[in-house]
Parts: sequence; structure tokens; C-alpha cells
Amino acid sequence: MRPFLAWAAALLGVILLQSSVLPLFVPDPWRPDLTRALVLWLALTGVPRRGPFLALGSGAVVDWVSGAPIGFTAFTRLVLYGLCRPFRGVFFDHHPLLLVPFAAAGALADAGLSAAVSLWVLERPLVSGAAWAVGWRQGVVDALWVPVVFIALELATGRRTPRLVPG
Amino acid sequence: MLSFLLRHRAAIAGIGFAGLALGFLVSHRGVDGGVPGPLGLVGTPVQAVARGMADSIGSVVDRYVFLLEAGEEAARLRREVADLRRELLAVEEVVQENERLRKLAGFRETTDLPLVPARVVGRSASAWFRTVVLDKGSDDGVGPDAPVLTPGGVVGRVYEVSPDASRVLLLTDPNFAVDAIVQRTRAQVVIEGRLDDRCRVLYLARGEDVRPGDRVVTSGMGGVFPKGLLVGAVARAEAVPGEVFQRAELAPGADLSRLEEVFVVPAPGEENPP
Repeated sequence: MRPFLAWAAALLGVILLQSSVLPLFVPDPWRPDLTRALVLWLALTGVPRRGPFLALGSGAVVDWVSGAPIGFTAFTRLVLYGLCRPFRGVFFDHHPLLLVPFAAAGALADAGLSAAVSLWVLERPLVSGAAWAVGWRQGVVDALWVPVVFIALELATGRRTPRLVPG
Repeated sequence: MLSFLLRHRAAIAGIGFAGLALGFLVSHRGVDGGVPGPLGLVGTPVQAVARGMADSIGSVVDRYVFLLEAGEEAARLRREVADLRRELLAVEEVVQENERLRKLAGFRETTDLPLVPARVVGRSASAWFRTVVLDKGSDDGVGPDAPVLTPGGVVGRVYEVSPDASRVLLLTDPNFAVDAIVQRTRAQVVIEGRLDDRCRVLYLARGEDVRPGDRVVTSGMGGVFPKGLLVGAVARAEAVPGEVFQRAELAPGADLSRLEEVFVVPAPGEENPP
């Protein structure tokens, strides 16, 4: 129960932060989408369980708060979860510095997914140039911010690095 | 001799103390202007030493007490400075708000449009949508597609309304588009958002003489935005070989990153809601 409550509280907190506080200090293209870090956490650690549903739900909450078509961000978060899930247990726990480029790649993947989904969903699709322009800025910010989020979630959920079992 | 001194040590000690006291007394009278008696000279060196020691001890005590008081005074002054800084911050905030509201009030007087003032209370949480939430809704006369402005220019249009709040699609959102004209040359264009701090200028014909700095205003076509509202200024315009239209960018007139108070143009008939 603790991991779920911690993750849910983190989701509410970052939604409030990025819709009310961060806009006062960070201009739009550079303002990070903190919920993306929460989905990366779900994919790479599996804590709490039922990650796909939580990823979908976090995207739906972002859509609802932002006035976007419900399902737009939900779908891209689910796909992002699916793309990152194979990397669980591969390198993150024992090579934590690799999280930095992984976080940047996650932001770029989100940009590509959003531009692709917008072709089918939006009347005026995201222009790919504009999407990538935002994506690389988000990548830079995520590379700095995601490790901090992971440390905070490790403390909040009580998740510890699993030990290697010899043999 | 020694035995004599030892036998009468009490008497000798008493005479000595009496002499010392007399010496202090007489030398003090000498300092005040009285005639110093010879007895005063006896006690002067001792008195000087004792006085010196007393002065030293006194000055140390004085300094210690002074430092204590100075420390307390410093702490009190630091608290006072912190309180004053907080007050100054609050006053500066009020001054800035006053300035903003003065500009808004001045803008309101320059236009015949009915305007409903509103505050921005939230922004989009998504990186791919540029929206803000206002604290006014249908109860205040705000309706769907209502134009939203600031003294700097067009901000966007309302696209979701509830009784006491509304959501605005900003000029910089890719889903936003408005028909406009370049004020100087009357070239007809369409302004479209593109997620960053500039907008695209579409359908600017190749032969049009448009320069950076040219003001762009709403054309009134489309039925959403009244004619003549400032959208922004051309930031860049270049003709690319092989393309029919020029590639141009517009810098919005309104500062969309610092939106706090805006005006909404209510629908006709909703200017004075109940």
C-alpha cells in the first residue's frame, strides 16, 4: 500500500507543481512534464504494481487538467511505459548514471509519440519541427530532473536496489 | 627585631591599614583641589596600582556588558530588518499589481468593446497544449469562442466554459489559428501557434513587402475576433526559392509567459450577466 500511496501522492504533487508553480518561473518549452518521470519510474522499477494502468491513469489526469483530448497523453504515456519496460532490471539499479541519458531519450520519445498521435487525433497536428524543438528542451531538463525524482520516489516508496544472487 | 615585629604584628598591621586608608582619603582630597597632605603621598603608588587594576577590571566588565547588550540589540535589529524586508516585498507586490491594473483600466477605456476582467488561475500541465484557466465562467458572461485579450494584444480564445471558470486556448497552441492582416501592407495572413514563444504566419504571398516589426492585427473574418485587435509583430519574413508563400514568424504582442490578468470579450447579449 505504501508504494501506491507514495506514487499517487507524487502524481498529485507534480500535477499541482507543473500547472501552478513552475509556470511562474520556467517558460513553456523548458518546463518539464514531471509526470513523465513518474511513468519512467513505473517502467524501470515496477513499484508500485499494475504499472500500465497507473501510466494510463497519469496520462488521463494530465489530459483532464490541461484541457487536452482525454486519452491523448494517456495513450502516449502507456506507449512510453511499454518502450521503457524491457529495460527494467537491465542496467538502472547497478548503473544509475545511465538514467540521465535514458531520461533525455524518454522526453524525445514522448515528443515523437505526441507528434505521431496528433496526426490522427488533432484537427491541426503538431508540426514535427515544433515537437522536436520542445522535445530536446524537455530532454535537457529531464536529464537533470528525473534522477532527483527517482531518489525521492525511492525514499517515499521504500524500494531498495535488489541484490544480485550469485550463481 | 623580628621577634619584636612578630610580637606586635596585630598592632603593626592595624597601623598600616589605617595609614593606607588615610592616605587614600587625603590623596583624593588633593586631586579635588585641596591641599594634598604629606600622608597622601604615602598611598599614591599603591593607590595608582589599585586604581589601575580597578580600571582594567572595570573596563573588561563594561566591555562584556556592552557586548551582551550589543548582541541583543543586533538580534533585535536583525528581526526588525527581516520584518521590514517582508513588508517591502509585500509593498512591491502591491505596487506592481497596481501598475498592471492601471494599465488594464487604461486599456479598457481605449476600446468600445465590452470587457470582462479575469485572472489566470492555472496553466496546462502538458507540454503539448498551451492553455490557461480563468476564474470567470458562464455566470460572468463568458461564452465559448470568446476572445481573450490583454493591453499587449490577443491572448487566445475560450474553448471550455463552466459556470465559474473557463479554459483558454492560447495563441501559441498549435490548435489555435486566427485570420489577420499586416497593418501596413494589408496582406491577408493566418496566424497559427507552434508551441514556442513565436507563431507561424501562413499564406503570406511571395510578393508581399512585409518587414520585421510590421504590426499584425485581426481581420475580423471568421466571426470570433473583432477587427483591429493587435496580434503581434512580424519577427521574420523570408522568401524561400521554390515556395509560393514566404516563411514568416510572428512575435505575439501579449507576454504569454506572464499572464496574470486578462480581459474576455463576452458574447453579444451577455455583456451584463445577472
